[in-house]
Amino acid sequence: MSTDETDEDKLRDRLERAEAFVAAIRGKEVDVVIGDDHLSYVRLREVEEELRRSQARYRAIVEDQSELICRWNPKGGITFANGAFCRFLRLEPAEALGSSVFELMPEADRPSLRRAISGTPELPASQRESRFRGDGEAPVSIGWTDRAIFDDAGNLVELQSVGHNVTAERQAEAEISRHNQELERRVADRTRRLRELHGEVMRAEQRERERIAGLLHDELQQTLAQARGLLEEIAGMRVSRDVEAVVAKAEALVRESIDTSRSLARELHPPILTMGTLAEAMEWLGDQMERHDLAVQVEVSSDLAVGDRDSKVFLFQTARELLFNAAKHSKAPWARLRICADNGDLQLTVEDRGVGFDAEQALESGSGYGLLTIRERAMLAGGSLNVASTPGVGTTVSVVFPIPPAV
Amino acid sequence: MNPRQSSYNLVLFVADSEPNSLLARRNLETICTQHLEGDCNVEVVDVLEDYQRALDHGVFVTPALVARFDEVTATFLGNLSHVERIVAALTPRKARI
Repeated sequence: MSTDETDEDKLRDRLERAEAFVAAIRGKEVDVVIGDDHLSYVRLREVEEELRRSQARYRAIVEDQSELICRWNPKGGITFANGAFCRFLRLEPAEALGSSVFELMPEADRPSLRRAISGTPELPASQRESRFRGDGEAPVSIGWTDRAIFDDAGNLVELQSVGHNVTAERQAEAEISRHNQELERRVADRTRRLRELHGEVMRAEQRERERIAGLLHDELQQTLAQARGLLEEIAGMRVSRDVEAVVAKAEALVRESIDTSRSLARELHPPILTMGTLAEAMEWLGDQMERHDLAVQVEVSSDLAVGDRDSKVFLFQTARELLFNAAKHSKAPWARLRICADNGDLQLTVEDRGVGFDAEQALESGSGYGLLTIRERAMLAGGSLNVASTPGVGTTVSVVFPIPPAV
Repeated sequence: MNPRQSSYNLVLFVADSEPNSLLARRNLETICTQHLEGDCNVEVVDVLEDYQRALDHGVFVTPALVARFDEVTATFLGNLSHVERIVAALTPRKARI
């Protein structure tokens, strides 16, 4: 036998063995497959049966999902699509297979799909959201998770996209956003109206002060002046000493009444507030505090101007309230009043080295210091109140609010 | 089966009591008693206990029958259900006769 024939016989023998091997496995006549150096105990029938059951379970789970599930190759060709996916896109299952995911998804999704193909084993998954517009139907939003699937060597073999309908969530978010905007608009509107009301209240209060001051000046003081005049006339007459004494006492009382009336009128509506600058008004206020045993150092720039009258009145009333507090409660011999402009805000500060107090408690209870009113008025003017006080050390109260435009 | 020198030395490789292995045992008995007139020396090797012998005989699946006769060695894979073909392969001298 020639060498060639021997080799041919050997090859034929090998082929026959291989065919017999394959035939035996295909014919399911094999129980066990033996490896080169170990035994692979493979119950082929049971493995096949278990595989069939497993595939059936998997298919049932996937098909029963309400989520849209599809698998596609790296070129975009769909290799699997569940019922939900097909129904959503109105495709027959046969139509879905082989279709391009780039054609089925909205055009805006294409960059995200390409990003998904670029996924790595370390970062295989990515999210996107699609907006589908049906004919005459409301748009539908689908939230997708795209996952790249790799083989053991790390090569991309397939991608899986799972989507669920997020339309209701987006609509709810949009509704909440609209409600929030409406709420903010109403809050802004209410705040504006409150500020306007606050302004009205302050102006009304100021008008009332002016009216009362006017009454005191124009009527009461005039009346008292007339009474003094009559008493002086009587004093010029020949009267008994007893009558002289009574007239003298009456004159003194009338003078005192006139002084009190003038003082009250000035307190209600200081003329300096209308006719002088802010600095002059604060200097005048500081001088008035001497009557209450409080020396006030005033630091207000002479060129600091406040445009509108309401803000000037607010500053004056706030400074007066704070200085009265210092005079009444701090037991300090002096206080500093400072008004300055800083970063578009006006800051008014009253500082003393008195006994101090529990500021937090005072603000919470609103007791006795008027701070609550000052804080509320500051907030309505768009500003804030800050109180720093240490018992035994002293107190610093600052009010900050936006500088109104100068007239 | 003849325990003394027989015309056929048959080694059947099985996997314990797996279905095909049991069927192979039954079919081999039929072949030996009804077609080879008992002139067989049969050895059954359970690969779950000794798989190396299967590899030594070039056997990679079970059940498998390695038959030595007339200076010929033949290997039959599967559960030996094709009795006639196996008998025909084992008795070519009868065909010549």
